[in-house]
Amino acid sequence: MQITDQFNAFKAVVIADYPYEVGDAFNKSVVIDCFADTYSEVVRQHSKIQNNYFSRNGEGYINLAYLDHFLILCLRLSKALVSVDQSLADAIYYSCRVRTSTDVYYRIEIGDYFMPSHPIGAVVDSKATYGKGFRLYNGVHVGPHGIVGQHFSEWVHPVIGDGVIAFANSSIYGKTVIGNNVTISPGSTIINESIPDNCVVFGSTPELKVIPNKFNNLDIIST
Amino acid sequence: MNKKNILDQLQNIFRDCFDDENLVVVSSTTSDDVEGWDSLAHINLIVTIEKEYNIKFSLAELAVLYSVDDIVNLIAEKAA
Repeated sequence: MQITDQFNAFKAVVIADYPYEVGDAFNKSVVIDCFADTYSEVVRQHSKIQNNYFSRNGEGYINLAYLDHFLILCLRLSKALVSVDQSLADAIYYSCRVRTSTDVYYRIEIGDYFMPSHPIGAVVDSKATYGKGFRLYNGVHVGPHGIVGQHFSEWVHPVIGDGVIAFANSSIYGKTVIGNNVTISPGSTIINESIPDNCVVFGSTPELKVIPNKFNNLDIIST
Repeated sequence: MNKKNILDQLQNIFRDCFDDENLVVVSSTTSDDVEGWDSLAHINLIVTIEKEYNIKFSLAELAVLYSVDDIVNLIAEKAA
């Protein structure tokens, strides 16, 4: 499908979702150019992911009917647009939330090759940092810890390495640092922990356990 | 506690954890060599060893336990 068709489809979705008028903003040439650049970059990244859901025969693609693709495009585009037209970035962020039931704000820092997998109900801290190839499943929660009675300027946010997979309903809080190539098993709760590289996490703080990770979580990406 | 004694004791722990009276593990044994040694079995094994020796492994120590030899060496170090 041509970028122009994808732009028109994307625009129609956002206009339909957002409670306020944003149609004119989509007509600005800077916005159209920004969409084209962002779209091409996401397709390029998808072309490196060896999975039919992202690429076929080495060709990356975006299907807006795949809500995971919609989420990725919304995130990357709203992030690119925030300095150009913050109201439009807000509208895209809004549309992303209502369509995907996922809260991934455009101020977030997520590395290349972001791979959300039907992440319904995931709420990920926009002040945490996430490495490349981050895979996000449903119900994942990332955020500060012990925030009651604490001014937000004192909140400490997790740092997540490259090649991390956060499986369903896992939670990562506070001054946790997750190493590279880490798989977080479903339902795990990690609070203020330092997780080494190359492991699989089970259980919950303070009885957390890890085992060696036999796989390279980034093998799916050919760079 | 010498490493040979630890390996002998681990033999029984492995047999209990994997419910196999004929299971034989040696220093070089890894999860690839034992049927049923999956991630859950690995966790059960670690928890059993911690209780048996009254020791606690750190996350950094657990992340590099690939073989029986790794486990023996770590127990010897922690239980010394």
